[in-house]
Amino acid sequence: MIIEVDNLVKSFGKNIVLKDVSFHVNQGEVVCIIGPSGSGKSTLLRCLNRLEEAQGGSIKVFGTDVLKLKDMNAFRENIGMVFQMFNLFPNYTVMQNITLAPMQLGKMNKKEAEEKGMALLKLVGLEDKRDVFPSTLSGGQKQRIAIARALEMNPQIMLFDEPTSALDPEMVGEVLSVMKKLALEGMTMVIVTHEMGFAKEVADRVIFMGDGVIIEEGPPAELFNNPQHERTQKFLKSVLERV
Amino acid sequence: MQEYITLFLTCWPSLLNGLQSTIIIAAASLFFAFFIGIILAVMGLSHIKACQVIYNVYVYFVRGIPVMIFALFLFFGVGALLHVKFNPIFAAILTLTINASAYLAEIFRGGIQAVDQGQVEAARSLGLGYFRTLRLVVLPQAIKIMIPPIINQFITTLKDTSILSVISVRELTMNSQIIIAQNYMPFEVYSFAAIMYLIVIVALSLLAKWVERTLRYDH
Repeated sequence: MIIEVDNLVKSFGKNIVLKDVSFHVNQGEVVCIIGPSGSGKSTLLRCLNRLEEAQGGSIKVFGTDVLKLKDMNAFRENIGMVFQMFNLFPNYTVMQNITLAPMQLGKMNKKEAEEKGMALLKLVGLEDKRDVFPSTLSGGQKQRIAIARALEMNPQIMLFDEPTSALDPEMVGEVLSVMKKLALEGMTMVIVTHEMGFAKEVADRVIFMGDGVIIEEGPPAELFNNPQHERTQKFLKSVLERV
Repeated sequence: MQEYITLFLTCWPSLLNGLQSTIIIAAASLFFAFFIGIILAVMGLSHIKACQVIYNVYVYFVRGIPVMIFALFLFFGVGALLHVKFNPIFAAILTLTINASAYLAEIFRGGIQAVDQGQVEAARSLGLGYFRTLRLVVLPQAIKIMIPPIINQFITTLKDTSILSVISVRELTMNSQIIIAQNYMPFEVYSFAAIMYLIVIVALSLLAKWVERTLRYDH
């Protein structure tokens, strides 16, 4: 197991966002987390690389206890994260966005970083954008660059926090297809998403969260076609029947 | 018109002298204020409660007192209390340094806080540490936000020097008054002074525009 989360508790002041959450992810597995807004999906994801500090329980990634870790920076290099709002650095070009971290951290020299950067730009289909600034890109292009930026660090796990929620509908497909490519290459991925079609097709396992707990989890075929819990049934009904 | 120009040429040496003092006082004050402002901003952004309290008290204190009262209080009030006669230039620079440092600190603090928190999260999740994130990601964006208000503060401080005539600093406004006391031509002489202020400040504004344009990265 590459990620093990046990009895995780997270609160913002008096508001308890995660109540005793436990789940695990195997090497090469694609796990989609679905559920209504405010159910704690994003918070759970952000606890994994400690963008949020949990109050209780334990998180083990590659066997290391994340909550007790001293050097977060070296640890985070192994976990790529993609955000809803892309968060590209507006003061750098596309290639500089991609190569900034590995060059600063002494992982690669400029030549190596740019070669790998070009390969990744090819993967996301944006080789021609290497020297432009992010402000000239569409949302879908920005998100694909953000994925390339995260991959440049050679992460072993990729976390996606609602990667298509801020996109215009016609751009969702291009981002999902890049993510699908990654999944097929065997990347371990944890994805918070509202794209049920994608979860159904690509996920190995789907976790349904509500009110800070995992209500149900299972392979997509089971969870989508035969949800056991009433909350899951209601949620899926309201999401899937939307016209 | 001929007379107007002749009069101007007569007044020019004294006015130029005043303008020099004006610029020197403003530049020196802003130089010191800049560094004090940075230190204050770091305190204001710190998570240490005592630092935040000092920052807030300082900023509220300075913002709440008019520059003229502050200058008069320092030069005459504190001078009388301590039985010393301050050098007017020293009192002037001290007054404007304290004043501008509070405003600059607010500009620095606001600029850093205006950078989207998502930028920090993205940098940190790539494995960049706190200081690298600050230097490579946050500050370049914050400085871009700060430039217009900083130049604005430069202009304000430059204009505030005219208030210092009340503590007998021989700057542009004071020298105009001295000339008028001799020739009784307030319309002409004050117009000279106004034009000189205007030229310097318009030049500063144009510089600000140019810097802003140069720093743009998204075209």
